[in-house]
Amino acid sequence: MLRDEVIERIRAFFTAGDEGHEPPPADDANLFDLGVLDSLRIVSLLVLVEAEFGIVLDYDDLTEENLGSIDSITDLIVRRSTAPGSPAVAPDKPA
Amino acid sequence: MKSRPFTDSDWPAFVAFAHQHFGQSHNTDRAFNEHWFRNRWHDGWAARVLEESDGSIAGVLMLVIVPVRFRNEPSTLAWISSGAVTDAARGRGAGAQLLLWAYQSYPMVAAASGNDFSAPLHDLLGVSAPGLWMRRFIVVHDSRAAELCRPGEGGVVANARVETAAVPGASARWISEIPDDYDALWDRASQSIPCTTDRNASYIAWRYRDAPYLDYRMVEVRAASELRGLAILRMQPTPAGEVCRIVDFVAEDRHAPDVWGAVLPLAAAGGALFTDFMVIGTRQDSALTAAGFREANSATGLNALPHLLSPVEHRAWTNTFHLGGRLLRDARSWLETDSVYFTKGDGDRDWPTTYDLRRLGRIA
Repeated sequence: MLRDEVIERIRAFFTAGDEGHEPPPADDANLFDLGVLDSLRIVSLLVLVEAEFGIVLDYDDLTEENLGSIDSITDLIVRRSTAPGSPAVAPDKPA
Repeated sequence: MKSRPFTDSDWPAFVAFAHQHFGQSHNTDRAFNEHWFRNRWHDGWAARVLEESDGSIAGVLMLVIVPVRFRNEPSTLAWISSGAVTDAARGRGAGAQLLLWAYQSYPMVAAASGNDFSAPLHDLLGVSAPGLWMRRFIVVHDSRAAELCRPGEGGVVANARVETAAVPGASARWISEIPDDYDALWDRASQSIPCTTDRNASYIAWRYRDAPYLDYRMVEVRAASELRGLAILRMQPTPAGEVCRIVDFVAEDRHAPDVWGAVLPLAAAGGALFTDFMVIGTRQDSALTAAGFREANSATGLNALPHLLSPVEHRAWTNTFHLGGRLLRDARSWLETDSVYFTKGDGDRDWPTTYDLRRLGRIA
């Protein structure tokens, strides 16, 4: 899976149920400042990441640095997926 | 925010945090907390701290660790107990971080009576099965129990009195020590239960005999010399009289109806207005019914009897129940209402309230 596909899925997560109402957060916008990432949303995100990418995030991953934006969440998933033994996600866009 | 283990050096800051964020739901008596959150089934405090960058406490989650039998193998289970985060930590994933730590760190995790915040998180992190929640069964011994109901709502209770009688061949008596042959009874009784607290003598001693500030009593039931059952209860004073709260019960399935039947006359003779038993799982349903219990719900009308009696409160409990943890990732494949057996005595559901502690002179 490519990084572009991961970020598309994360963008979709943050617009799910709100189609046509609010614009999706910018990729680098602070999700905590926007108030769109409370505990329930975070756990829902973990469930999605495990179901769709086969990656189980650790409680130590749940930092504001890792979860602060769509970009950083995508980077976290890519990092975890390229770790030895994890499902493969291409870290960079194809040339 | 960074999560880390709770240590002794956190105690002073924790006391201040608990007074501000737990309120009356968690007392800060040190002996009480040591007993519950630093017991023999866990190395150190079974608690986690979320720390702000300045070192202040942003959140705390405390767990009660108990031994369990899971498919006849020993393991440990972490009951989610007290947890809170500061206002500043809300909306930053603090609750998720603490709960995820628990679910990822322990073989089994259980959560009962979730609130509006935590129940949806447990839905995602754990498993709940249809029909699997904490239910309450009641036998009314004395029509004065109706005085505990709201005005005008005690009619059903007043007319629900059940006459209890000794069970032929079974003798029940109050005891002060756990019987020497109790572990043999528990081994027999637990063989058929896929998932339950390991109620061996060591656990019973810790949970009931040695628990601070609650006066539990034990009843044994024997047939000839054979131990057939053990019930643990406390007599709770109310403005209308005492009531009998059975918080734990052990018997082989085949003997359970007679054991319940033998315990009830003792409770009635002791002056209890009613006896109740709260349980997660349906394994005892038929035995309870045979002994005269009825479930407290709107169909029977027995839900007019308040559950909260220290002091009497008609506020409803949430009776949700979730299981999770590393061992239970395939739980959906086996979790049925009769595959688990937990009682109100498990976890932190039967703790002294602030009202109790004042009555006992433990706090001003």
